[in-house]
Order: sequence, then C-alpha cells, then structure tokens
Amino acid sequence: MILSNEKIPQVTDKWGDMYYYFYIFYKNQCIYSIDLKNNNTQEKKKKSNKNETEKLLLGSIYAINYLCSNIQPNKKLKNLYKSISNSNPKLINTNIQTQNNINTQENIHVGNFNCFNTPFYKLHYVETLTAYKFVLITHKNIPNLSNFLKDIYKTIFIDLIILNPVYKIGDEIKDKMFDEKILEKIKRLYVG
Amino acid sequence: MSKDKYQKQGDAIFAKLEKVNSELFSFTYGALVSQLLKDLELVDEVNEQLEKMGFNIGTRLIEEFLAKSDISFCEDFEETVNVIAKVAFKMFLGISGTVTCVNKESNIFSIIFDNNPLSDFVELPKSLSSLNYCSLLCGVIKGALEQIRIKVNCYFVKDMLKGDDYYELYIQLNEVMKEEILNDEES
Repeated sequence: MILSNEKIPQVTDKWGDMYYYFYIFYKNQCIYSIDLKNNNTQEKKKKSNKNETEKLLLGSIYAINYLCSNIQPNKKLKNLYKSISNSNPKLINTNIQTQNNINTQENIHVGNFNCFNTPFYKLHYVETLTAYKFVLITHKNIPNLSNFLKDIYKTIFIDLIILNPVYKIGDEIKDKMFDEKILEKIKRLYVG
Repeated sequence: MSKDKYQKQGDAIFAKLEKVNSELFSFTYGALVSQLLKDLELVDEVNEQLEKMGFNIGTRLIEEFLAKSDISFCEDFEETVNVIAKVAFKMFLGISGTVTCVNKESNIFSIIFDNNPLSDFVELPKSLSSLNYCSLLCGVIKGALEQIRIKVNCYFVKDMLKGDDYYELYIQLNEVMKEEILNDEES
C-alpha cells in the first residue's frame, strides 16, 4: 500500500514534465485549452494573459502554415488560402487542390506542417479539412504525435463534441467528460 | 476511372459501418414531415424548415464523414460531387448516384439515383404538390459543403414522388471561400 501510494505522485509528476499544453482552435477562436503542466497545482493564468497567448499561438500557426506552403520546393500544392468566386468561372475549372505525391499527408490532416521543434519544447499540429486545429505542446524529445492528434479528432472529439446535440458548433468546449477523456488519453500515451 | 475508385471506396466503407433499419429511418423522417405540416400553415415554410434542419445536420455530418471515410481534398468540384454521390450517399443512405455535368460554364452537376430511403412508403396528396419532401437532403449537402468552405445551391429537379421516373439533384458551385484570418486591429 505504501509503495503504491508513493508511485502515483512520481508518475504524475513525470507526466506533467513531458506534456505541457493542449489546444483546439476553430475559426479564429480557441475553443478548448488545457494546461497539462499545472494540472496538479491547479494554478490558473489570468484570463487576459491566456487569451493573448492563444491568439499569438494561432497567429503563429497561420504564419508557419503559410510559410511552409510557399517555400516548399514542389509547387504542385495550391495555396490553401486562395479564394475563388463564381465571377471567374475559368478559375473554378482549374484544380482547386492537388495532392502532393512526395509529401502526401494522411488524409485527415490538411495543414502544411506536422510539428516544429525548439530547444525548449515541441509543437505538434493537425488541421482538419473543416479547419479544426489540434495543437499539443510537449517536451522537445517526444516523437511526432500527429497520428495521436488525428486519433483524438476521430474518437474523443467527434463522439463527445460533434455528436453532442447540446454543443453548439463554434462554442467553447466545456465538458467534464471530454476533459477526463483527453487527460486519460495523454496519460496513457506517457505510460504506454 | 476515378469514378470506379469512389464506387469501391463507398462500398468498402459501407461494409464496415454500423447499420440501422432503413424503415425506422424512413418512418422517423415521415413523422418529422407530418409534424411540420401540422405546425406550419404554408407548405413553403415546411420546405424552408426542412432545408434549415438539413443544413444543421450537414454541419455535423461532415465531421463524421471526414473521420470515417478516407477522403481528403478533391481536385475539382466534379470530383467533390462524385464523392458525395458515391461515397457519402453510400455511407449515410445506402444508395449510390450517377454524376453528370449539366453546365460546365455555370458549374452545375446533377446526381441521379433510383431509390431514396427517405421516401419509401410515401405518397403525396394533390394538395401537397408543392412540398419538396426530401429537401432535408439538399440542406444536408449545403451544410456539409459550407463547413469545408464551398458554397453551393442544391435542389431537386426530378422527384419520384411527383411522378418522375427517378430522382435528380442539381448542385451548383457558387463560391470557394478561403479561411478568414481575423485582424485584431479591426475587432
């Protein structure tokens, strides 16, 4: 009994050292965020600071997406941000999007990058065709977790949020079950 | 060639999905339409309400479609319509449609299909000749495509409930929108 009690804090502490933040963005808004680092201490940022950080992060992701789209050597990919209106019917008949054979993403992810690394952390990123953006910030040594984020989208997000008739699309996610499932899945990632 | 590909893809996804009795679906939809006819006085309002409900369904259905199918970008709008007719219809309705290009300049495509689970066991009285019984389906397609930033017009031009031999749906591409980036200084 004593040993098992001692083990739990250690696992939790180490887990908190490896996974820092998780965000979901949709239409210029952060609809979900969770601070994995401070889960134990229950420390909460001031709301204004938090919003500022979220906007900055979303802007950074847009910029990196745009950068990766424009600097990539294979020009088959069209610009994700291009808009076409019916006033130019000839443009509509050209290809809106061509799959890049060399850098083919798995289909759910339509963003232009998977992750980036810094000396202090690593950011993992998945964007769906419907423009939901899943962001996980982890310790720098964690391998690429794009498939993990896709799995969160396919299972937890769709089952608990999209198929929830009470949730209005575009609103902030406030769901205890969703919180628990996300935390559980990330913890399992650490243990597994 | 690419059309056969989507046919096979639709069949493969259909084979592994959970299924429900289509008659339950037909009768539930019938009850919905009946209730709307009682609640609203004008048939035009019923059509409008069905399309609105369909739109709201479509905004959520697209997520399930993207997650469970293996479909991502379509190269052009014709391919999009093929995906709708051969994969999405198969996934959610158990039917498959044929796509033809009606007007290349205006980007109008038609989907033709022979049976529709929404209108099994349904007969329309003459007093309801202006009712578009399946306009929920048009709303679903509109709502789903709007979630991926494609604005379309969608309407039935042939309807077996009105004496035609088959169903024909027209989808017209209006606009492909880009994802808007909010400028903080303006808000």
